[in-house]
Amino acid sequence: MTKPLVELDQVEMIFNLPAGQLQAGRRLNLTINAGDMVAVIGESGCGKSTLGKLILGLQGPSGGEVRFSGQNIWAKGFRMPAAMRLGVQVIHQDPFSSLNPVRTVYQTLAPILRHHKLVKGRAQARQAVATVLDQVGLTPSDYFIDKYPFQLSGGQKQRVSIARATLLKPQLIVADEPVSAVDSSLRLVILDLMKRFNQEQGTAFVYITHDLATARYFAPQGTLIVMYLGRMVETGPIGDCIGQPAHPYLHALLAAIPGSATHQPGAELPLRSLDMPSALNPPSGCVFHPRCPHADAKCQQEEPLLSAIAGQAGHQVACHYAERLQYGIQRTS
Amino acid sequence: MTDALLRLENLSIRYQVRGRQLLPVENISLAFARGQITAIIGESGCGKSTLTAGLLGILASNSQVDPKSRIWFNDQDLLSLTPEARRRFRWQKASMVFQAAQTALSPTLRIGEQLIDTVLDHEKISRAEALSRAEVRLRQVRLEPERVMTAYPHQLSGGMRQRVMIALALMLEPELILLDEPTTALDVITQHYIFDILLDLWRSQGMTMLLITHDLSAAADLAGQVVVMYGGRIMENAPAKAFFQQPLHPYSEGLLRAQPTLDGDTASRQPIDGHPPDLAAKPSGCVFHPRCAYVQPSCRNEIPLLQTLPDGRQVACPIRPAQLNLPQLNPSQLNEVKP
Repeated sequence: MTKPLVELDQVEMIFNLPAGQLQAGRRLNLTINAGDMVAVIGESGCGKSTLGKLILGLQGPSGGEVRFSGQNIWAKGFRMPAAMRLGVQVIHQDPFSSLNPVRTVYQTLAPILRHHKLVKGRAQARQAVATVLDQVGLTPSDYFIDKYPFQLSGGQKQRVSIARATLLKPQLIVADEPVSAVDSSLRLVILDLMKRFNQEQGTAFVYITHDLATARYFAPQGTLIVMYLGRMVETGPIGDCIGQPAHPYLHALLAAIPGSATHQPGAELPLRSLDMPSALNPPSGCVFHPRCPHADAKCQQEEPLLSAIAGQAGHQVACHYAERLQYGIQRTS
Repeated sequence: MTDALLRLENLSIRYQVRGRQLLPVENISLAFARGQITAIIGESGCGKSTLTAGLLGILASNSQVDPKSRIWFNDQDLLSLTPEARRRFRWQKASMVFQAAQTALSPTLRIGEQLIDTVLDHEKISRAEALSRAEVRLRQVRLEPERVMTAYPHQLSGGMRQRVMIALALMLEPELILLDEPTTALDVITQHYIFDILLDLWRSQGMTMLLITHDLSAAADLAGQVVVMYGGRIMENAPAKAFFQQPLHPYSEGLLRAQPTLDGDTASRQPIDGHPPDLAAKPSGCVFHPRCAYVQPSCRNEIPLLQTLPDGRQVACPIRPAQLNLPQLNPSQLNEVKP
């Protein structure tokens, strides 16, 4: 069997700030194989973007190992081969600031191809860029190739970002909130485009979002990771997580989403408090206990570890009482 | 509509931008019922923010309101008011909860000062009275006055700041509150809580609210009436329940189909092809026709009127409602609202 593209093994991520230690990642374990679709959800400040940076190899962990194809990339003396480094690419959230405003689409994309000696000369470069623009739906490519970012709409700019990320045929793309700045009628176009790269070229994706519905649309057969205060509190096949959430946090999150099976406008959420505690000073024991309606003395002292749920392949939860709680969600339709 | 708090008559607003003329609000006639929560739904560039700025009289200096336009508020034409009267009107009669609570509050003033200054500027009451009123308002949005009054905005979370914004909008007991994307930057749990507070206020005080949003699910949660804008025009105006059951305009239908859901078949979800119009060079005829699945030759030439159907719903499409075979629909009964 081939080695996984990326593995996170007991990764810890601590930032030392003037105000104290910020735990952005605790005991992160994750394996991404070729062609995998992984969705990461959580509220702002839960550490989901930090997870993305760790997967990209942009952020060195404070503890644990990040391995690309079995190699610890932060080991002393290890120099990452170019092919490995280029195998993971990123799509940023905001296409308004992630594209250079004084470069045309051609000037943004062509230097990448030239630098890696994939094309020779201007004619070949233009031809290659035009082909990529066709692939991401910026047609006719003649019309778009010499445009500046300010001449493009949000959706068109995000297509350029996708073209840039896919140019070197990476094995893995981390997309950090790629559609939150895109108009709602066009969100699915961008998600469909990324899905097509997964289906046709086997590119693996890590989709970071705060929107569970787009996560489900993007990766209906994929894996969901739910983050809370730097911890993975639940993970599993996305359909199982939505249909049978195991963690009280995911249960509350689902009840808050308009249109979900457990949502009732104006009804109280199954939460003891609204406010997320600070990651600078996380609660003792289970980090969710101050908000959890089921928490008891054990939860205040002992931190639950991510562990398998009996009878559900791949579904894991970090809760002492997950078995007892059993949130099966009855769907009406 | 029998009892309208706010009525727009042929409202048009233009902008001059580098020699190009934009028309983000084009000949809109619409009535907003008293005590109703109405959602104005649209994507970026549909004109919804210009419309609200026009209502409050806070348009940018390169804008121009068409002289034929009228904005009736309780039978008073807001556009005929002097600037000073308009300033008084703002906040006293109609206030706004701005989108970016991070930037809409002054970073250098304590929350209490900002609340009290707002009252003292409009009403002749003592500081102590203003203070106690601020405390009442903060409690209404479920904040502890002891903790919040002396805090600076940066010491509060995003959800708390947004609740301060709501308290600020309530300070002068306005008849109308405009909510401009009140929960966009907030997570779903905080959003749920803010909606809960707004619904509570609405039930207890019967305020008229206008919710400006691109989020259909937010509209479904809060609003009784839904207005859909596209390219500076009204596409549809319908009771929320009827709208979410059966949208009549092809754009509304497309928007609903473009929303991912937590259940059902993901394959049934579809984006709307094409892209939103350039407000300086709108398509001829129906502004939605280049993206419309039901387009007919006539759509390219004639601007469809906003027609009122027998059940009171309004829609600016002569094609789709007829195809839907609605039981009440009888073209001879359609009366026109827009010239």
